[in-house]
Amino acid sequence: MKVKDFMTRDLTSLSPESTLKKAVSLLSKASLTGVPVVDKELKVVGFVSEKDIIQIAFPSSAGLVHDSIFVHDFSRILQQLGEIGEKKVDDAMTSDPIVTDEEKTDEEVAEIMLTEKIKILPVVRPKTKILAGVVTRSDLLKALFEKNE
Amino acid sequence: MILTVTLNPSIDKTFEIPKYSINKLNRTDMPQIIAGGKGINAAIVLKLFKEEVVATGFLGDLTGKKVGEYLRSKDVTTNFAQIEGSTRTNYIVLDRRKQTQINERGPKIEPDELESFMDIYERALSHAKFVIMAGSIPPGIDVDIYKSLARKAKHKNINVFLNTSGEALERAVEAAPYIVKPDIRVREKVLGITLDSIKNKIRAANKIMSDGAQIVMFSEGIIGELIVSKGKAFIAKPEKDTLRSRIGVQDSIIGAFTYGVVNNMSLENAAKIAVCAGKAAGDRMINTPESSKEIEMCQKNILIEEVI
Repeated sequence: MKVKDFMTRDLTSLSPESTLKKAVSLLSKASLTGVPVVDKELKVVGFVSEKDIIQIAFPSSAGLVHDSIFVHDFSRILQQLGEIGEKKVDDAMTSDPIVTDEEKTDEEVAEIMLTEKIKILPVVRPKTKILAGVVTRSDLLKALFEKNE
Repeated sequence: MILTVTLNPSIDKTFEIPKYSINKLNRTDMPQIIAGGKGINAAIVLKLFKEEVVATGFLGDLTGKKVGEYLRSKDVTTNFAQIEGSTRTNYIVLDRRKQTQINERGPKIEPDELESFMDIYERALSHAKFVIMAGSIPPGIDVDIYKSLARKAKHKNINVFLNTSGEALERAVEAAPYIVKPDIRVREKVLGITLDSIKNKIRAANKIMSDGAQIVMFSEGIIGELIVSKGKAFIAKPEKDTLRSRIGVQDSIIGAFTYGVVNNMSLENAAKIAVCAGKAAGDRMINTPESSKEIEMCQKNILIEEVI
C-alpha cells in the first residue's frame, strides 16, 4: 500500500516566521501535537511540535517531557507562554525534518516512524519538498490493520 | 491544482418530513448529515473528475473537524485556518417538493484568524491554476474580502470563479474575476438591474463584463443556466426540468463548469456537464453527484438554446 492511499490530506502548517504564540494557538485549536513548517511555496523546511515549544518555554523540565501525554492540560501551558510568545517558530522547530513521499510504501513509512519515534510524518510530492499531507501513527496503524484483514 | 475558498462552510442537516407542519410536533428518521458550503461542494465535484483540488477557508470546533474529515474522505486536500468559534450548522426540511432552510450566520472571525487565512491563501496561490471563491461572508470579515482575494489571484495570472451576492459581489466584480455567477437566491437585483427577464440578465452580464469578467452565468428556471460571454448568450437546460432538492445544485454547477473551462471545453459543453452535475446533485439529495459517469451520461439530455 502506498502512502498516498492512507495519508491524511491536510496541509495545516506554520511558517518559520510565525510566532510561538500562534503555533500554540494552532496546535490547540486543531488538536494536533505538531505541524510541518513550510516556506512561501509550501516547501517543508521544518517541523514544530508541542514538545519543542515546551522545551523552549521550560528548558529545565525538558528531560521530563518524553511524550505529549505529559501535556494533559495544554491550556494551562498556554498561560505560561507569555514570555516566549513572540519568539519565532524558526527558533523552536526541527530543521530539515524527516519526510516521506506519496509513492513510498506503508512498510517503508512504518520503519521510519518506528526507528525515529515519529508521531506525525510530513508527506511531500516526489522530487520536491512541497507538502502534500501527513501520515499519523493512527493512519499507519489503520492501513496496516486493513491490509491484514 | 484548483483552489476552492469557502469562508463560511457548514454542516448541513437535512430532515425528510413528508407532511411537515409548522406549530406541530414533527417526527423524522435520523437526518442526513454532510458537509456543506459552495466551495466545499464544488471541490468534491472537481475531485469526481480527478482534478487535484485544495479546499480552504475557516473551520472551528467539532463541526469544523467534521467538515475537514468529510472533505478528506472524498480525497479533497484541506488547508483551512483554524478558528476559535464553531463552524455553523444549517438545517433543511424537505417536504415532498417544498424545502425550508435555516442557515446560521456563521462564527465571528477574529483579525488574527483572518491573517492566518491570508497566509494560507497566498501560499496556496503559488501552486493554483484556478480559484473558486463562493458563498457568504462570515461576521468579522470585510465585504471587500472577495475583491482582495481576486486581486491577489489576478496578480499571479490565476483565473477566478466568483459566486456570491449583494455588495460583496458588486465590489469583487471590479477585480475582474474570469467567471461571475451572481447568487440570486435572496437578492434578485445585480448592479441595480432587476433580474426579472432574460433580457435584463444579459444587460446585467454585460455590465459585469465591462469590468473585465469573461463569462457571466445566471440560474434560469428550476435547473438551467444562462451563459453570457462576449457576443454569445445561451441557456443550457435538461429536457425534464425537475429536481428533488435544491441543496448543492448551484455548487455542483460551479464545480463542473470550472472543470470544463480549465480543460478547454467549449462553453456549450462546459454548460452541459455543469447542468448535469447540478441535476444529479438535486436528484440524489446529497449536495453533490456521486460519480463523474453519472454526469457524463446525462449530457445528451441537455438542450442548448441560443438567445443571442
